[in-house]
Amino acid sequence: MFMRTVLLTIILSLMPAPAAMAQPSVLEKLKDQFNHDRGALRLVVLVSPTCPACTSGAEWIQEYVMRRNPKLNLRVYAVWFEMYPGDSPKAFPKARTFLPDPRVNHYWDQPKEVGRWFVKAFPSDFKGEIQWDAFYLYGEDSLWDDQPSSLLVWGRTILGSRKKLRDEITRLARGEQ
Amino acid sequence: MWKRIAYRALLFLVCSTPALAQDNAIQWYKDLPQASAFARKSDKPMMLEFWADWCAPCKVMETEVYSDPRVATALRDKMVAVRIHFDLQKDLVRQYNVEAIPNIVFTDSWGTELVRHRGVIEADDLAAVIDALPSNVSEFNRLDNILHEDKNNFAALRDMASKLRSAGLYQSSNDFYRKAGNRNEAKKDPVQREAILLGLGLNFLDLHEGKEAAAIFERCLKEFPKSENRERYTAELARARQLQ
Repeated sequence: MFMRTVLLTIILSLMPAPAAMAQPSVLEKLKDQFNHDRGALRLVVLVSPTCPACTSGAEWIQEYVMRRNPKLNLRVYAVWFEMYPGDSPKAFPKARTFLPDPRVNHYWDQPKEVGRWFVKAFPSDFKGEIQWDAFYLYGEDSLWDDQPSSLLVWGRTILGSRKKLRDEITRLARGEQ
Repeated sequence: MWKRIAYRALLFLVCSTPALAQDNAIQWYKDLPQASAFARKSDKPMMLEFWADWCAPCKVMETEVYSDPRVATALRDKMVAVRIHFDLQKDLVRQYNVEAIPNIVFTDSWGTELVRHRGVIEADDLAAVIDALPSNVSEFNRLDNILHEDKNNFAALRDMASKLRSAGLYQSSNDFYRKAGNRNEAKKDPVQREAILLGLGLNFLDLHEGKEAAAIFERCLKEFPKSENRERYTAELARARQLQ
């Protein structure tokens, strides 16, 4: 009996471990959801959960983009990550409350890969390696292949560029192309 | 020790003289008791802005909102403006339960909250809020004066709730309805309790908080089965459920 148990243990230890299921990254999840929502306007928001500029920017989007355009076919992807002293995954649940609209998907991006990706995908005069406190608005027909097409407007910082976003949203809400 | 002395010196500079600081056209008080005393003389409401010098959105408010002539004029004509430093006036930050800045709290002359806004607000909206608020808050002040003598005065709590509701200040109204509802006068008198619950429920409806409104009207139907208002409660309950 004892020998059989030892033999079984040896055999089991020699068997290859089952391949770990690869979890999709936040960037992949974002891309999938973005393409799934094709037909809607789509707004990607890159934000820190405790930086006052970011949280105020998120609140501004909630008030002036979402609440004031309740019928607008718009999806928002709020990607939160650590950029500011005090940021941590613990701040994520509260950060979500800044953008409570049901049209918003929230993501916690621990490796900050979405911010890194946007810096490379959209070269600008921003000198950092990780884009944050920024937004990117895409048209209804946008499709994310190598990168999303049909960028309508982008801005950094959110509050500093908010008039640009508001003007574009107002134009789109009026049905102007 | 030196840190504490330096902190106190800084606090003294921020909170004491001069009472008034000239910022563009807006005269900002930095000391709340002084501002309150001045406001009570003319029964003006106050606008408390919680801010800090490191706060980027506060700078947006300063350069793009308070500099707007509509805001500056409305504030100067109708309100007493007070700036409260988020880091240096922690007692007031706690008193007004301010978690994030910028944060604007409109109050009566005694400092009782009427309505608040968190985050950046655009100039035209802030001017509209100031215009919509009463420029004379004497009735709120009268009731507040009673509450300063006796914070549990049932009639003053109930009447304050009712006045706030009439002014469209539903959130603050509910704060007072809740306080009144906790008093023995309401617990022992079903007529008072029913009036308070009705006020609470209607406020929740006006705030589009369907779940809370439904809970109140369900309670009314349960607690007051012979009330002459039953039909109304049923109708308001249906409205509340539509909001959910």
